[in-house]
Amino acid sequence: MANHLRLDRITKSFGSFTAVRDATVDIAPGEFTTLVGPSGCGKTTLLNIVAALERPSSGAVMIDGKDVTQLSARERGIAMVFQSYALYPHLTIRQNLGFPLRVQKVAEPERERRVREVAELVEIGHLLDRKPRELSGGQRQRVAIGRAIIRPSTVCLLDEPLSNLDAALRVRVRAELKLLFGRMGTTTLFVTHDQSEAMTMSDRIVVMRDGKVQQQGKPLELYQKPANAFVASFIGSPQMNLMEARVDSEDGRALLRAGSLTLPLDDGQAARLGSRRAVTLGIRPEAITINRVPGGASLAARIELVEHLGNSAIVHYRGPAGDQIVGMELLDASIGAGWSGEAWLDPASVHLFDTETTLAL
Amino acid sequence: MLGRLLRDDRKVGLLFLIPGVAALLFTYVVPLLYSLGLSLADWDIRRPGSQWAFAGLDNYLEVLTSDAFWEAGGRSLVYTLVALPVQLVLGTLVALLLTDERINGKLSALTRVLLLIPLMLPPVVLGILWRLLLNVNYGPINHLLGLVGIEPLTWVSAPDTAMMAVIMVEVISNTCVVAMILIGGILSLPVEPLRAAEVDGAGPLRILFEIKLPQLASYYLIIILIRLMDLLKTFDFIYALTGGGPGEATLVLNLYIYRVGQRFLDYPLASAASWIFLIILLPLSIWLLLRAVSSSREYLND
Amino acid sequence: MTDTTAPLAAPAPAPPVRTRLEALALYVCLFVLLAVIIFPIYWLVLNSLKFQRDFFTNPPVYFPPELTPGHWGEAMGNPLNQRYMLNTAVVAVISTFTATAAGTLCAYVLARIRMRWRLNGILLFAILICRLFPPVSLAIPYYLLMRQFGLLDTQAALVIAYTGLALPFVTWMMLTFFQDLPKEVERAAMVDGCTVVQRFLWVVLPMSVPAMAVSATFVFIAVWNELLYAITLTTLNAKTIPVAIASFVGDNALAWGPMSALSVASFVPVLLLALAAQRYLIRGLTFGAVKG
Repeated sequence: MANHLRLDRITKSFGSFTAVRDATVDIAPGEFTTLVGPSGCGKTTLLNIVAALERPSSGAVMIDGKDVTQLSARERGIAMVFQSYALYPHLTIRQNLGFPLRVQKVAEPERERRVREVAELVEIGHLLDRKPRELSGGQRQRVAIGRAIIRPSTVCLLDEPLSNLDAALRVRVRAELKLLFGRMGTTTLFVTHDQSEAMTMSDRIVVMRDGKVQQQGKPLELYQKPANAFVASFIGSPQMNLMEARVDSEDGRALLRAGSLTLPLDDGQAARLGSRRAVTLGIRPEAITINRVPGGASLAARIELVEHLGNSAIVHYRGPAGDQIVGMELLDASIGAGWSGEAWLDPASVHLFDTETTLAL
Repeated sequence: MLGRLLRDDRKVGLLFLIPGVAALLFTYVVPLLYSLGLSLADWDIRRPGSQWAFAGLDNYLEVLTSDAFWEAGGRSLVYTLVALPVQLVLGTLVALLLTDERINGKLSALTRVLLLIPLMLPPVVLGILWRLLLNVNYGPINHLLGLVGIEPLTWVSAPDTAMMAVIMVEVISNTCVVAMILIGGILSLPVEPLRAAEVDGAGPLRILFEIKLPQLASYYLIIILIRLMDLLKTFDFIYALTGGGPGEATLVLNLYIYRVGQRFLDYPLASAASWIFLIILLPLSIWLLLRAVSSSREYLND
Repeated sequence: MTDTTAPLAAPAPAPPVRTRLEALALYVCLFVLLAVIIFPIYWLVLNSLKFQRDFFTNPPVYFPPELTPGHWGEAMGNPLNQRYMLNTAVVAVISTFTATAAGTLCAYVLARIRMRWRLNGILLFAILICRLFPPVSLAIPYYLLMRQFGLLDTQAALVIAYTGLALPFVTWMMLTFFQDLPKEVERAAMVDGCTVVQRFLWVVLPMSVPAMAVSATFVFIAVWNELLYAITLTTLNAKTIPVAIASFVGDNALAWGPMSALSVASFVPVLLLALAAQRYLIRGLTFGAVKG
């Protein structure tokens, strides 16, 4: 059962502090959506509002077109996985899983059947008679997920469920979760501060900062066409190079000067600049390489540091003007610090942002 | 309908509060108001059929001008202000003793458990027990003192020494409480700063005064709060040990009020005295309480 | 153990003799402490078992050659004393139950349910203030009120007084406990569909059993040992053990044997209870306000 979730101009203030400002998010039925942003951006507050654990100061929560803002969590049909898993310590795993059904007064045999079904699904069938304190972190997480999916729900909410897992487990569970929720088809809202989790798992991403929605859309959209400088630097790892650039012209062609870099612009880019004299220039490290780019621009640079990842390398350059720029080699090459030469990039791949509004041009 | 009622968080909250609040009303508000009324009245319980007559502040004036009241207050003060620091110091010493690494761990642990004993003793029993121990002629304390060449003391049988005896008993039994709390504190102190200080070459005394004790400040605050309130409210064991005597030598304020009320049956006077006591006591208690209370409000509705 | 030949920059270790003397001094202090704690108890128990002739002697008898159970028989066999024991037990159990129940309910609301008009703060303040009242201020009106309602010398009067006495304490202890309880477990219950009552009964209460047990233990001990209210509100029928013991002062001043026996009898149950719960009692002593 997939439902449409809409958050309509939600604002939430705690006294003088506004956690969420005028947030509007539209989630299609069955979509896996991630709320992502740095700590304190309001994503957890927004999630709690959807979960009926907090009431918005203004705005509405709508499920399938119906305003459910005044309804409780159960009445909304929400299911939730908490960051700390929040298992009931005094109940066995079996009882933990069956708890939501017990509250809904489902009969014992039916309950038992569903518990077994879900336990198989999340692979904890052998742990049913244990207590939460006897389980490992990863196992507890599965129980928490099981408890959330044991009954059909309108929307399933996950509050940073992976942040308490160690790194290796995290990558594995990411994929499993995506498969699981994809199969169930439930509309899902996921909260994390890790942009790579957001990118790999979501059908749609909502980036938040200081309580405001910065941009929402498909992962690739956000990556390729960030709406502002914040989204541009938040999405994508390593972070996009952002620098202030002066607008100049030479032989009738517009170009940008930023530190040691001189970048010619094509007509489209020049048009977007309008009458600006200065602009914020964004270049993804993936676009900067030591290999010659035909028709590209270059800058003289010295390599200060190379971080070898095995399958790729992150290269830290320093230009003659003292500015630093980060590039990336997609095949780890045996280059090292001290190398001097030219770093190349394709001018068409750069991003331009207004210096005051930080919006993309 | 009950079902719908139970769904509203606030209504349930009200329901949960009712038993407690009702109990508090009956056991605090009503008696205090009654006693307030009584303190403003003229009433002799011994005269059958006598009614309450409004007497204004007469009772209060009588109390405030009576030597007995102030003397009793003075005794309470002396008792508290002597016993508290002594307990703190002794308690600290005991706590340090029992957490010292040079002593066998098992022995320390056992002693720590034994510290509970004076705490669990009913104060009445404490009182009569020390009556036995401090008996001038037949009590073991005087005998043991005699073995080291000290004359037998009159302890609770003479007005001069009675108060001292009372204070001594109080200190002995409650040093254990102080020590227990401090031990809990000391054991929970992080070890690393102490090790770092040792490595830096600090001597044990310096470590004690400059590192250990300051970290225990919050414990001391709690102890002072609790002990102060308890000392001022002491009744049971003094009653059993000396009954307030001999004469009035150990008649602290609590016992004075009790005597005026239950012995002399002058209830209006006793009520006035107890209100004065309250008024003196409350500001200090409230102040200490506010310092010790942490207010973390994490509500779960809306 | 490796042989360190190079001298270190740190100060040389203290000479062994001094350390041993220090340790010895510490042990002496320890034994003095133990003696101070144990001797009175020993004396009390001894006095309950000594022959009458061994009481009023100078020097006192520390190790009597013969002991007698006579005093115990006299104290415990006395039907009056048995009734007082029963009274004490009944009153303690009932008061403990009522205070713990009412206090826990109050504490939960104060901790987790925001009421209108800032009731939470006001009520908490009021409850804590109650804790500060000297019992003597309340004993007198209690006496007169009970007398008016014909409740003097009844167990009910004591139960009422003791419930009031214990309530602020229980509320405070359970309040700090509930505040420490992880919110998310209760939120999970909310999301799973529980009403407040359901989540309180099915989730919060089971998790609170240890804390309630500690509060109950404290209350039980306090009520069992209490004297002031008991002496004020009872005369004959509802007398409790502490009152019985206190009455030895005065009339029966010479009946050291039975007096000691009764005292030990009143002391032992409490001691056993305390030893069983010792770890929790220490935390409770600091109001739980300092995270020990």
